[in-house]
Amino acid sequence: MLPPMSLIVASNLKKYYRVYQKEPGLKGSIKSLFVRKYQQVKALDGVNFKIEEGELVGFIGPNGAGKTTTLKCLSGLLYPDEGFVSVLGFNPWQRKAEFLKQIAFVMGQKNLLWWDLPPIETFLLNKEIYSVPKRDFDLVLEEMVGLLSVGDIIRIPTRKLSLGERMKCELIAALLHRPKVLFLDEPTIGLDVVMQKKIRDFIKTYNERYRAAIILTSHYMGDVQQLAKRVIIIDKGVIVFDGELAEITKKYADHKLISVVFSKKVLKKDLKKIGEIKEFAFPKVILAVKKGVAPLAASELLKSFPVEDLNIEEPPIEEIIRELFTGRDYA
Amino acid sequence: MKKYLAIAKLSFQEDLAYRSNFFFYFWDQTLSFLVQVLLWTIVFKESESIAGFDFNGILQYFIIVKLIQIFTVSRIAYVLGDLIISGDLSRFLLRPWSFFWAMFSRQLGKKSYRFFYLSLVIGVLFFLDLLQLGWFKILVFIAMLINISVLTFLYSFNLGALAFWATNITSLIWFFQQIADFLGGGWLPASFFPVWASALIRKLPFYLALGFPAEFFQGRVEPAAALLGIGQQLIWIVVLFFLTALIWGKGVKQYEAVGD
Repeated sequence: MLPPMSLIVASNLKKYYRVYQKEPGLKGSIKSLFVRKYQQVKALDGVNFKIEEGELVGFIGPNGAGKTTTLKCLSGLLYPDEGFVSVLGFNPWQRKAEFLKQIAFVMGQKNLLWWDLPPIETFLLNKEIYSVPKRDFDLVLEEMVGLLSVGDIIRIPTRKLSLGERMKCELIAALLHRPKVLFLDEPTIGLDVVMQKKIRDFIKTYNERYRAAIILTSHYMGDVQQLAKRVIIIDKGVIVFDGELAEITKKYADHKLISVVFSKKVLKKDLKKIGEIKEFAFPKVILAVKKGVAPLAASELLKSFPVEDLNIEEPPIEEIIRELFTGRDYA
Repeated sequence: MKKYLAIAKLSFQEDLAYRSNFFFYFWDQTLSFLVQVLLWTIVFKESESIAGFDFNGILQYFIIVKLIQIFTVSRIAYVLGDLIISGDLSRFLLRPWSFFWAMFSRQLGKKSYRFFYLSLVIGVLFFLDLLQLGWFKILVFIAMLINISVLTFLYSFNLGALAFWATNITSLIWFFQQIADFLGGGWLPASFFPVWASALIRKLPFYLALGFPAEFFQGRVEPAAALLGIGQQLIWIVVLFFLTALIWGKGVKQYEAVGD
């Protein structure tokens, strides 16, 4: 017997696109009718990871990094050029019904709901499509409707719902068959903070209750910070980090932030001697200093300046990641 | 099977939400028919009969042609084309169903609404005995309509699948549908063409799907030939079905390779 395989395995996954380039102007248009210049884009260039049952993984990277392409390969929408993919023991690309019945792919901007009919009709249709027994259906629906408090809107035609209400119903439609693997592509895009929190809480509950493996991509670090313990960072088709969220700070942050509130006026040039000024909004100033010298810098501040309040902080994760993506070496 | 029934039922409800749509479509068709009446009035001032049609005969022919079109027209080409180009096809591919049968059931659901209207019209004609309809004629005509619905769906589905290879297909779809209309006898009955052209047109599947059933309804086709026509329709359905499977298979592979 082979040891049990991880729920999701991607090994040396490669996907190249051929994009054709057009020269500008009418001349270029005519020329492109006959001769086309193609350029190869490496969307994924050897991606490796494993994800186990019950794991909730945040997948982050700038636009065009390969997040969605990866999800498409895992769900069976894209045929990888090279490498090995296995999800729930299936080759996703074959899109077998038994496989599709155990996964769900929620894309923030696309909807499953029938526009002119109330969400409940889509739910009932999905019950048939995924052959969910009536008893399970009733139970799960009641539970989810309760968690997202949408009891009174599922009977209103979808086109009359707000974006947030629709997104909640989208999630229900996608999860009624209780998928074991869930791909969430930007689930909170365009939502206000209250709605974002509600959706996050719901995803967390689903993950815990059904031990589902969830991969989540998002542009909001908040989503990832609140939901995912493990984070995979991808850039230009290559994984640059795979580990616990807290590790990112340890590994990549080479400085700390000291925020100080002064009681009397201070001079910028005096502060510059201690560290780089990140923000100067008197009486509050934020200084960046090298990791090792933070305590020293703090005591120097307390000694020589009129300090009212002082804090040493890690730089926010968003900032670390932004710096990661703006052209520094990862090695 | 149950899931496809559910899709059909839901599509039926969805179409009910657009009752007025169908109403306007119906009147739009009627209006364009009135223009035709004017045109033919002028044409028939010169002669009693052209190519085997008198004035009443030609109007009757076009009424039936319109009814057949209203009942059997398929918009799946545009729907599918949009899904492919926008990338929305993805979410349909990730469901445990056959996309083709799902769309077919959807069409079926939408059509049942129109079928209701058509049965009303035929029912009235039947009871008024305006066209000396017998049971044989009604049954054969209904069988033909069902076949034609399948044929136009398959044809339209393949036109939509062109979007796998071309990025702007609206005009392409329109063009191919005009050709189908023209060769089907939607502009003129086949007998208006020169003998050789008319013989050719009658051999094509397009005519089987429009002019032929109209002529049958008018009593211009012998019962034996009508039954043969149904047989030919069935053969074309099988041929188109396999063609669709082939094109769809190739197209989806292309879609998987390129993504969006």
